[in-house]
Amino acid sequence: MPLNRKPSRSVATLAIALLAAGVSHAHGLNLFAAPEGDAIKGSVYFASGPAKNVAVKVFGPDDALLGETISGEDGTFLWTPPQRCDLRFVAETVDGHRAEFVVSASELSEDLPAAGPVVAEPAPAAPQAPLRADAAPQEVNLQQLIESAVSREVQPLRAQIDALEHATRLRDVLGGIGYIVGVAGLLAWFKGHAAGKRT
Amino acid sequence: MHIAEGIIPGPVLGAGALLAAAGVAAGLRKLDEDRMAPVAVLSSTLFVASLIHVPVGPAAAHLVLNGLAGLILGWAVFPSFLVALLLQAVFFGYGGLTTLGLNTLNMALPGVVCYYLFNHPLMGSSGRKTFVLGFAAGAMSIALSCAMLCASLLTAGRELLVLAQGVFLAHIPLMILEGLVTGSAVVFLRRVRPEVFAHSTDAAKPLELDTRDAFEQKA
Repeated sequence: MPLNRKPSRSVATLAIALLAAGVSHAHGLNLFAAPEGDAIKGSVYFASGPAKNVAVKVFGPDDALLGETISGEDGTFLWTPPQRCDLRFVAETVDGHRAEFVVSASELSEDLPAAGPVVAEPAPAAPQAPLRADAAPQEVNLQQLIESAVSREVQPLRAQIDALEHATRLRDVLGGIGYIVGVAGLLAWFKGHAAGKRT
Repeated sequence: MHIAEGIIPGPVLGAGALLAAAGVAAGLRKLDEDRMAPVAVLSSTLFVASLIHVPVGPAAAHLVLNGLAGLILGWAVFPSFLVALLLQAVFFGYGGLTTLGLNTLNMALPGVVCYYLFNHPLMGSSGRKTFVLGFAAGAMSIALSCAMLCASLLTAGRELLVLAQGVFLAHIPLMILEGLVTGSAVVFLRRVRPEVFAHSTDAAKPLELDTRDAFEQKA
């Protein structure tokens, strides 16, 4: 087997691959879900676009199946939880992609019935003072307006952060190629060493 | 094409891992140190290829290039895919670590099949026939990988009809695209660097070493 007489060709191939990586997209399935009022709005997506008609199952504590739904044409779904507990959303496509996302009980609306011992933490989007039973109707209305306004502003940010975490970076590509070159070099050294011993 | 974690039952993953390990061992045994440059370049290409997505029906598929890799590397396509898939799982989160063996088997074995089917006729071909053989290798490797993917998902309880429609039929555009890519690549390589393809005499190499050792022992 002749040696690689023109390493410049291999380098050129690698360079083209790197450039191609810069303009291409990631491919794993991702899922993001956040409360919207009493319901939970979620989206299932590939980095290249929304994932339509994907089955989503919801599991509660002890892996009990609480419900199922399907993502729509835009990859989103709306689902109302029956109780206030930690919810694990699992999306699976036909061809073997899978994604999970956990919505903690503290994020959910306090109007939902509680389920078992739940650690009561102040919800991040809700005001610190809890709703008083004898509060005036205007106060209650104002509080709900504030909650929904803050939620409307914050949830897109959370979705963006989630998508950012799953994005493929050039440094990941370079890291992978670096490992491949390193392993190939080590393997070549070992093989050459063994061949040198044999002759 | 990558199977994610948590779908396939354990025994199937174990069997897939064992078969993939056997394939990787065979590939490493047949690997020469002066073949390392093509192997490294192809591993890098396989690693990056799945970033190039192709809109396929409702979802998106990605280039696999196992046919081309099989034609060039022969059995060495097994360790090549193992490394590429491991790094994809670690860096990109595609597939998984428990599914590494099964994914390697599903992608590398069709490459080896295409090597045995097409490598020899490819070496003696020219012009249009080269492209046709390359196209056939590219399309067939995707078809075989799809079939193995469907078989794997069947063990997870999916229905055959749903799989046939949702997976196999959906990948037909990818089969055509990979056929075109492989055909063009093969024509180009045959013209420019024909020595990059694994020759069928690679299978004879262990035999040559054995006879030489036997000869040295006699002397």
